[in-house]
Amino acid sequence: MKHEKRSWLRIGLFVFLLAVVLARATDADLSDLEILPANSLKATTLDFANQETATGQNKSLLFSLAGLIPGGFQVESVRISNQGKMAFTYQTFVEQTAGNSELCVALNLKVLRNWQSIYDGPLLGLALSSELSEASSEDLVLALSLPAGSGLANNTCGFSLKFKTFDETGLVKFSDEEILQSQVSTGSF
Amino acid sequence: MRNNRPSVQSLLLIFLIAFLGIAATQALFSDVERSQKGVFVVGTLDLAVKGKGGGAAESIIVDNIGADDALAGGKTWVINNVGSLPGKLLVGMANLNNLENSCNEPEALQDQTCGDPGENEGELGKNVLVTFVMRQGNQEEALINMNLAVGADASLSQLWQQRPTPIVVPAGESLELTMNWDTKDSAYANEVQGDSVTFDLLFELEQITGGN
Repeated sequence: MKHEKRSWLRIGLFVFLLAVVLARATDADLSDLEILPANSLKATTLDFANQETATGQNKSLLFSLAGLIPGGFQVESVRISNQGKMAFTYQTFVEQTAGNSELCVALNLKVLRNWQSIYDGPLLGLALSSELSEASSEDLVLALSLPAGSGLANNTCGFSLKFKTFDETGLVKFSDEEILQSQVSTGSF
Repeated sequence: MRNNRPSVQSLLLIFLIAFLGIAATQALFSDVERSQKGVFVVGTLDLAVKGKGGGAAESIIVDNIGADDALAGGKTWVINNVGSLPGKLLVGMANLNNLENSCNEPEALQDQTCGDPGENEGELGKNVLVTFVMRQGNQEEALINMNLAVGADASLSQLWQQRPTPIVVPAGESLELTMNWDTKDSAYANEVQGDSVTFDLLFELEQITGGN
């Protein structure tokens, strides 16, 4: 009988302590909440395209010329259009992709940017840089010629005119590159 | 057999000593004043978040990350406890979303997900390192380093709750909280172009109870 009373006393004490603990854990505290909504971090874009100067269509081929003769030339054009949201600097250079290096070395290229001459020399020696601001474009007119007196009949030269962005600071991690393919062959003369 | 029952004399002696002790320490003079306007006032806990110059708090909005002049930045807010009780500052984040916002040509060459808006397909958040810095008086402390990848909103609340010492803003006082963001050391490329990360920031002042 005495043990039974002690048990009930212990149970009662346990229930009391449990109630105290639960009340402590579920008590209502004061608080205030402020919300700063719609924070936004967005990356910019770096993108340009080679376009036909006449139609604005994307362009991937530049010269496609068969039967070139010494003293002959062909003129093509391309519009470099900044389609991203940041200004960038780009380099222009030529890489041979096929054919005889003799013909590629002999070919001459003249480049006009916005109707101003900026290069006149060997095709493979082309090295230009230019800056293009946001939402702008520039037009290049290119004249490819085989100098008079060149004795390179029945030769071919395939080359890529490459436009590649670069960043002198090394901080900008976005980049873009566009390529115009060309194929030139000389005839029998 | 030993008798364990206390003797009557012992009990009388105990009662006598207790009586003398009470009598010796009793205050003989007393006075009672009763306040007629006794009022219990509950303290207030009131949080105000302002801009650094005292103006309205502004959200972080940057739309040209990746340009050489937008690789890192930050925003500072002033956390004011304008109530009458000290409060524990908690900072959280909600509605974090990494958006793809479609892909341009350079991005499409490197990124297999090009949804528009492409919720949680964006790659920007995981390349943005965020640091919270607190200034209270002369004390400055970098509190939390994290990125803004998918799920970071839940992480921020957990990291803040796990701090060993709470940040207490006494009644009537304030502190400055800066959220710095940085992409300089992140190894990202064109897959991040045009991506965005959006989120809400939550500032909560909580009553201090029981020493925490």
